[in-house]
Amino acid sequence: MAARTQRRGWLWRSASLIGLAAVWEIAARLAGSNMLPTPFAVLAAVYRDTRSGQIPLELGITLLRVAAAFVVAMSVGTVIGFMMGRSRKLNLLLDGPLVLALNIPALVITILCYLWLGLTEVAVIVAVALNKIPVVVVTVREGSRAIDARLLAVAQVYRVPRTVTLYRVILPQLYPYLIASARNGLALIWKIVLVAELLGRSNGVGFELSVFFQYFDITSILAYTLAFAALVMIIEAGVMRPLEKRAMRWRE
Amino acid sequence: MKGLNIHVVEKRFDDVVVLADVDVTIADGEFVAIFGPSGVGKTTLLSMVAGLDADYSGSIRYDGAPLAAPGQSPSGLGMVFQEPRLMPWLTVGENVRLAEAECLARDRSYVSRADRLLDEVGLRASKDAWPNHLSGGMQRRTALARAFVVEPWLLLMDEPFVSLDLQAANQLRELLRRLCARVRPLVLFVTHNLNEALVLANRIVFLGNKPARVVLDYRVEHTISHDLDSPEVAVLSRRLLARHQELLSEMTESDLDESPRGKEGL
Repeated sequence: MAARTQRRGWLWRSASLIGLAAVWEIAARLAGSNMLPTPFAVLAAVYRDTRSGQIPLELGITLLRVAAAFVVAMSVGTVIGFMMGRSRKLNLLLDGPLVLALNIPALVITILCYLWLGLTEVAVIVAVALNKIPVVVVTVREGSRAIDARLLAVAQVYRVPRTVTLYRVILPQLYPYLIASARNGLALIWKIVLVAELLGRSNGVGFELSVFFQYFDITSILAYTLAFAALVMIIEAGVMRPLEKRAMRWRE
Repeated sequence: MKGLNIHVVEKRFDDVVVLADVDVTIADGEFVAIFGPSGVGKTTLLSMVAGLDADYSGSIRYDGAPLAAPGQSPSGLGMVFQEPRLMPWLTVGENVRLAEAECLARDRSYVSRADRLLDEVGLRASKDAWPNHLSGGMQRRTALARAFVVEPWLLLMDEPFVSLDLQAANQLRELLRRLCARVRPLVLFVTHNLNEALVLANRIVFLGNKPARVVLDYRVEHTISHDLDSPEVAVLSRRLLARHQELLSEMTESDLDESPRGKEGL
């Protein structure tokens, strides 16, 4: 029964993607211009640049930046969000700056980081992490407020050491929030990394896109975008979802 | 002073005094039921002994020394709450072993007793099950195994068998009796079921009045039946309840002058 439902889910997903490609194909044929290449032309460009090693290299560089910013944003955001959820005073103190941070455009943070830290790798990672941290904080703060005090009392009466309490009592209650935050994070971060690369790096998918932009090379722009989006979807399906399933298996 | 001495001068929730002038001393290995109507402050008293509530005036001492550092729970404590309070993301076995984490941190060579306890409560086969796959009775057994895995010298139980069907509750009482016979902890057992108190405890402390204080301190004969529904228990229970009511109304009449509470056998 479950397998059947799952199969049906896949069927619908594939159908929607195929439908999208069909609409694109028709639109491209009707337009008949360089401004909208056909899906086939884009796939051919993906194949060509993958074989030449260009796409894997640029994708790899961008992915490393995404990973670094992701780790920094998740760790810092989790710690701050957790503490704000547990301490009323800290929450009052940091809530104002948090709302402010949530409303500063990604572009502004990125430009400022480049100006202050120079056109460096550190500046990219700091800029992207700073954009994501407030979002993580808000989600994890909710989770930390929802922690069940009755379960903490169990840990206290058995004098469970702090680290064990963290791993076996507190973190499992935060998992749903951490997973939600990680999923949204991945989607948000790779978009901001591209902007940062476009503005101040000389490699990575974002930089390549800026070059294609100058040459009006729409086929390559779509090819790189498609390749990176596919990679993010593979990470989502191959890493995020299995992790979520493992963390939540007790609910089955 | 030998044994566990609970002396609460006053315990308030905001402006309401819940407990006042409670002074009870309990010897090692004694099984004391704390009986009283709902909302009288039984659970509060237990939380204070457990170190979960430090906001009161008074002292809780063992053999004359403070039972635990402020804000901490005493070591060697086992506790069973009204609900099983298992971690749903840990298996039955992991839930029981969680209580041993401190023993392990203190002594690397500590050997887990979880398997033995799971055997004793009849849950060996469910060791790797998730708590939400277990029946209510099995969840309580797990909580009982968790409480006894540390071989506690002090066991606090807060109406642990409510909302179970009669048969499951009886089985758990029998299990508790067996585990207590082996480990011999000092037990504080909160209940509002006097029959249950009579068949389990060797002493019953009646709380009552507002603010609550000890109305009656009753020693249970060893010879009493273990059957909750036996006529003997029913008769004794009725008599004690009547006496409890009588003492309560006397206390109310004499208002707050020194109340005629005392140790007595009926």
